[in-house]
Amino acid sequence: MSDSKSPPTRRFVTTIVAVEGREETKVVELPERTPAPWTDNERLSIVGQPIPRVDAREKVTGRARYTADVARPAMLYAVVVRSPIPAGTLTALDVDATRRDASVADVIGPDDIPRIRVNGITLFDRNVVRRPADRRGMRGIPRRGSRRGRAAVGHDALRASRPRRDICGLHC
Amino acid sequence: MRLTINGRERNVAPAPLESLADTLRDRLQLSGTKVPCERGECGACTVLLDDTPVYACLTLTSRCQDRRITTIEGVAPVGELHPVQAAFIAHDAVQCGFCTPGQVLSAIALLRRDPNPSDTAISTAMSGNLCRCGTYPKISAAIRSLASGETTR
Repeated sequence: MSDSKSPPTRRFVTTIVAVEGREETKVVELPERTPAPWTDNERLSIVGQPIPRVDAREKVTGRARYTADVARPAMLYAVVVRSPIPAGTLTALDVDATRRDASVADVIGPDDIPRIRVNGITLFDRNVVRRPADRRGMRGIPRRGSRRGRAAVGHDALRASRPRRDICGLHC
Repeated sequence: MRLTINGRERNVAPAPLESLADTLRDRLQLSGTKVPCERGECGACTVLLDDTPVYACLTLTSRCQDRRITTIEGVAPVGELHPVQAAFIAHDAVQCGFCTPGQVLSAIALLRRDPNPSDTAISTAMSGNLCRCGTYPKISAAIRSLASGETTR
């Protein structure tokens, strides 16, 4: 405790902490004095101490629930269709055949993405849709073979001057 | 067909080419068996067929009649830990945990057939289980602790 005549000035900082989408404002009081730096032989009670992993038990017993373990009624599976060639620019996309496939619930293309919002936020980042004008950034990885699903999506690798649709589309 | 899973008989009607991994996860809701690669590369789907570790993603359910299948859910009574599970916790041999069920089952199979495995034997026995987090040294330490009788709890 301080022996000084005037009471010590209390100092606070305000900080915003985001946890799982919620933002909380925290006010933290600063210590009266700046703590002395640690010495080489400092006995530390927190730094360097092992901390039991809180979810280790769930993980070793197989009870930990991962996204892939979630099963919902009438759950659908999404397949991401990527460019089969590096740095490819897709200029046309024909998903009609895919949509006709009875096993396909829907096809989500570039035009749909801005509309898919949760709590007012567009869920997908800019790399989902690459316009020809924006060729920096991601490079595709060639894919071998085909994955699940069977419908072939028309792929026109020719660059049109004014493509109406231009996500990467291919075989899925 | 009838399967014996974790000591319990279950009736299932698998598709002809259905993998044991799919049967366990999708029909029986035993989601402790993980399927990261689904092509026999990673070992996370390892289960025991009788006492032998196998990749559930490459095992046809239709071939499992009259075999004892052990998944991670069945290695210890509910609420308890198998010594291997306890050792994994004690040695922090878990990070993301996705490969852990398969690692535990491979380790159990190893210790059953070789209660005192050498480091080489541990490496060989565990070589079919990949860990993307790189916890291999801790997994080996966990297994070694059981071989030497070191306390794990």
